[in-house]
Amino acid sequence: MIINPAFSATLPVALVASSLLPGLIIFALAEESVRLRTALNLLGALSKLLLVALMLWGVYHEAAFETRFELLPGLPLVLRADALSLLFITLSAQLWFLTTIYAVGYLEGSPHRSRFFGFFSLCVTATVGVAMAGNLLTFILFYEMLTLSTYPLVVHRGTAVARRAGEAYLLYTVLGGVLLLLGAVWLYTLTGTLAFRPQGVVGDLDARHHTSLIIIFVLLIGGLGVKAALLPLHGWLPKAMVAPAPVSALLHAVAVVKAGAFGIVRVVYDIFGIQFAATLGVMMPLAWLASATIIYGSVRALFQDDLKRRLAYSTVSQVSYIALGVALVGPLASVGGLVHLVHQGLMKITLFFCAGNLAETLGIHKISEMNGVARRMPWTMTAFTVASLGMIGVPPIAGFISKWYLSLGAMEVGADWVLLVLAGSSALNALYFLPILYRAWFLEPAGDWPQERHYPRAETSLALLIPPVITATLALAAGLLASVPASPQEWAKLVVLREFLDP
Amino acid sequence: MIASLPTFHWPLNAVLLGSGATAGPLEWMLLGALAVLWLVFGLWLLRSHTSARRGLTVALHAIAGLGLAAAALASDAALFYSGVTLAGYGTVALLLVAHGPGRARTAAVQVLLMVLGDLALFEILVSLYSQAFSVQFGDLRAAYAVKGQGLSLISALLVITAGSKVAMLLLLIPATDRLPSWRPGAASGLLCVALVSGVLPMVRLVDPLLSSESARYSLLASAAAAVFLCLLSALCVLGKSRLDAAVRRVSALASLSVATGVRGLAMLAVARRLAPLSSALEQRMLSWPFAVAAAATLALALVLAVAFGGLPA
Amino acid sequence: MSIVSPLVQPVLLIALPLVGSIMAFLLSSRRATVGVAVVAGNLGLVGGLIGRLCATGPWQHSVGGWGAPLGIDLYLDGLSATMLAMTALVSLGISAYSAAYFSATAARHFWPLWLLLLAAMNALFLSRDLFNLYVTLELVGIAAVALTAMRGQRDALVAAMRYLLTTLLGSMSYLLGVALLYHSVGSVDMVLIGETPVPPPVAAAAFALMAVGLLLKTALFPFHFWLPGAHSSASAPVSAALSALVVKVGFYILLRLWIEVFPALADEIAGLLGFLGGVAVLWGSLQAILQQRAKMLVAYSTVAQLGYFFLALPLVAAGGSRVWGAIVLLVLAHALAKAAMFMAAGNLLAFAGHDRIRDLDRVVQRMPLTAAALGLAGVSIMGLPPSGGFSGKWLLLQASLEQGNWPIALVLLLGGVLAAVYVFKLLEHIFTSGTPTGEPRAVARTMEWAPLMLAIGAIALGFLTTTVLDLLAVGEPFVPGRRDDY
Repeated sequence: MIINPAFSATLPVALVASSLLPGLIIFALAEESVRLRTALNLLGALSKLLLVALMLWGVYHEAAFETRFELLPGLPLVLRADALSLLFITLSAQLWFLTTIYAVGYLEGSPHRSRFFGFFSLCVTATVGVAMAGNLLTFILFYEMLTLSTYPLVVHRGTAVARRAGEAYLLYTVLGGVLLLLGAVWLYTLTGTLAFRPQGVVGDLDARHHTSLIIIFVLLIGGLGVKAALLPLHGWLPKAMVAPAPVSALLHAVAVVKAGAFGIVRVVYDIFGIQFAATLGVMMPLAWLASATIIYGSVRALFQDDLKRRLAYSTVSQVSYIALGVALVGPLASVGGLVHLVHQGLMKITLFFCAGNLAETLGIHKISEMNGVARRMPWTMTAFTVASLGMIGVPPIAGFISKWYLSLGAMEVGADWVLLVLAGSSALNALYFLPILYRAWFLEPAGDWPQERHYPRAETSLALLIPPVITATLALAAGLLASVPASPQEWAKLVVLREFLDP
Repeated sequence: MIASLPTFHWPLNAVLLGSGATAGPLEWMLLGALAVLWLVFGLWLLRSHTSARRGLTVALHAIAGLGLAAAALASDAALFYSGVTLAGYGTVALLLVAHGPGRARTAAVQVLLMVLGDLALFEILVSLYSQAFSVQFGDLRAAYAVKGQGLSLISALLVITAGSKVAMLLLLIPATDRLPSWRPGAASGLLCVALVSGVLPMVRLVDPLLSSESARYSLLASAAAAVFLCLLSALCVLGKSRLDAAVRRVSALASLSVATGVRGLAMLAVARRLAPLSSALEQRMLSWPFAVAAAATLALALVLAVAFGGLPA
Repeated sequence: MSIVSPLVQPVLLIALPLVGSIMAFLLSSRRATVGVAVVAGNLGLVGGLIGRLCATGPWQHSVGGWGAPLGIDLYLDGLSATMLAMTALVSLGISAYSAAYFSATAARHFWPLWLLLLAAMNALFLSRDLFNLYVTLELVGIAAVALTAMRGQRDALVAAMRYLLTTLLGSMSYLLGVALLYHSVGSVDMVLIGETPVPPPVAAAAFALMAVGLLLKTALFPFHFWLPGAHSSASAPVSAALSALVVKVGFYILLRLWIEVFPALADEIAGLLGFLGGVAVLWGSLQAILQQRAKMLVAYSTVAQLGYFFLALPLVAAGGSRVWGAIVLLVLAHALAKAAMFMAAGNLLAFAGHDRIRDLDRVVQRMPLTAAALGLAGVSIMGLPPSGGFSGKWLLLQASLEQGNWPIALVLLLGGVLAAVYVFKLLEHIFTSGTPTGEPRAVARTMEWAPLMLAIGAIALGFLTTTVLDLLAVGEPFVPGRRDDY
């Protein structure tokens, strides 16, 4: 199907602009113009959803969308929509919409909202750019833009604690950016191209470059692993919990951590090519590192009393599933890793939304304060329950599908020890999620809630209630209806097919 | 009469990994038994506790019942597994609602056993799928016949699955004073769960009619495993506090080592020690005589170097 | 176009600011209007010249029809045009800022000196023989010193005195070198000297003297002792001009000498200069991190960024035009970003009455444009994409990795990390609360927009990299001897 070339070149730019322009306008708005700001936010989110739908329809009909711009001599800025980027972008667009609604409700009456939503929109712009990057230079450009636009969100509250959290965040992310830059430039001097191509661009290089390629791989994964919270580069994540709940939801489900994991997928699939990476011998160490992170994150989560910190360590653990799926060189494992990108996003954002609800409505920050909360906020806790059961791997919620494919993939490549890791992770997840559920549903409240606010129509403000319910339903649907043609599972299979077999 | 019951097959291709529901004579018998037991359980629940949480009770009962039905009727492993886990979690939740927080320890152990059993079942299904490449029970049975002969990992896992679920049931019998008994009404609910998640996997995967020798041995082994697991759980409950303390000590050690490593990474600490030193040095350099002397020395060095072509590039 | 083209003459670039300077001196009011008008006209002229350059190629113009050696020849090629454009753009920003910054009494001194500085810099970028370069260099130096001392307070006077003595020493050293060459060759024409065989001791001595003089003016470590004091104690627009433009002229002359006059000699000391540049980057960044005052932080940041230009010199032997292009790109990006940073720091000082970093209490809320300017300028200084600083850094990294020069690559990366530390040290206190001291004063709109526009320019440079590199290549400035082709 032929699409007007002008249209196919402008659509990627339009996608980036749909959150950049509202963001820049919001910066200029006065603090009191709530309606205008909310309208701009929602307009941006809806237009992005519409554009993503257009793009999906186009790619389904075999159209190609690409924008090119000469940035450095010989190295263009490329925004391209392929199957993998669409996987990430669809997730981002939907979750941005829901997080916007949530943030409007959460920050009602808070100071500096224009600044917050301005940087919020910039953050989404950077995520969309990361998703659609067609070469490593474009990826780095938007990756660093992500760092810069999330920093003001982390220090939004302006306290000394926030400042220290921002310092830790910057320490890790700037060092990661340096590693990534060095790896990219070195790669460019070796191959003369940084384009993302299925099955990689380094396969034709001479064998004498193999040592350099291994070091480049370590550099790139190190740079990306900071954002993807791989051991031991994960230290910034629990500290960044000082940010407001919508920021944690965005950071941990959609933007920063996923950008890092997505980058790892891109580097392994489209720069090195998975078969070549296997011959280099770098995949097994990555699998070990991912497994270690999975277990470590879950173990640390066991001992946190602060709810958001427990969820942060849980994220550290869960995002490494994606790296593990990539590192096990097999199509089934890859499907598992890719599909977990979407599933973990849905489940984790639900958990953070619910944590934000508890903090905002009842002043609850610690798990020990959560006794009997389900009676006061049943819908929130139902969403929380669905999401946590999904994390444990209980079918028919989406987490089961990811674990299924990852386990199968492990058996397919003969790495049976991974089954132990996954089983251990499920057990640990149960160990730290089930007590929360028990406290909430089956215990009596200890006394008054720390700081209760009453809402007229429901247990909490509707803007705070509806997003987690929707995302929990989506998580359930993604698992229950996993074999529907448009589901994340089917889409992930499409991506893997193009990577492993010659198209 | 049993043969005259209709058999149907209902494909559900969009659900999970492509599943379906089948009902043959065995399934109808099972459904019947489950329905009766579940109804008894429901009536006991309604009668046993106050009306405060009736809504929650009814909802959980319905969901868990749905899980049981799904597990009974499933023709593929994924839907079966979903039903099993739903029923398990639902039943334990119902019992907790009925008995309140006083039975927390026993409930915790039952949940642990349930999770263990679920994990073992998951591993079995994954293992068989990698052999059979299908989630339909017929194919999985054929794969089990190949992989699960005699003393193999899969047969051991199957024993653990069955055993843990039966052990959940057995925990109703007071083993020591520390495990108070729950009322018999609860037994019917747990019996459902034990049937569906304990015995049914064996039936589905090994032999539908329990006619072969291996099936009978597996059944015996499961009973033994059940008792063993029950005793082990009792031990854990007794020694829970000591176990807690040991694990806490390990975690504290881990977090300390990571924090030290990260602090070593932060160069700012080193820089802070060097800061006054370098500020003093810079102040010296900004002073006039030092600057002139340094500049003159360097200029001289430059001139000499260039003049004699001394410096390597 | 045919009506306008006779107007588009390189001479006007010198004449217009000179006339403007005299007018500003003579007028008793409306000095700022004259100043801004002249600078805007200057920018228009530069635009026209670039247009003509791209259309017809580089050319030479003899002032008054008198050719060398009697008269003065002005040459325009890609590199000159780029430097002129940099000067014009940054000057416009600084002038707009100054129009609102200076009171009437201060403006009496500022505008004549500032326009004189502009005329001198334009003349310097258009000259191509050694003596002209000396004259214009001296003019630039004296105008800069006068501007530094303008504030009249004790710290400004001390710093200006130190600056004056240093700059005079540098100029004298340079002149001595020129004299040696003239005595040996009989001409001050650069290309001629480059082609004539000069006796090695003379060449070496001349080069050493000229290099030392220029290094003093460009504040390479350890000759940087005058810079932090001068740049931080001057008034904000003057600091911007000093850091962004004045220190670059010395480097420009060194670049021309490197290519045209002393290619062989220069390659021998490239290693030493690279080493000093590396030390400058690391030492300057470290000192910037330790500063307590915003303007001192920005001044030390200049020391560090100047080091980058010298750090890349060992790469030019093998890299040629590509490396030179990257260095000039860095020069451009630094000019835009540093001017923005100094003007923003001036805003902080005007707003709070002090520029102590720890006491900046959430300034971002009351001066968002200034904070945005600092943020965007910081992005270029750190070398994060997309910005001119990133493009230059990438190209230099590429060159150093291609030539296997690992120390340079590592210093480039480490410099970026340290820059991030001091930029964010400034930014984090702007975002988070401190102890507010005293009553804040409102800052004029123009004073907030000027640095923001320059900072946006630094970011836009990242997207215009190929255009700028193409412009630079007009006339092949990095290949010796091309000047006589036009």
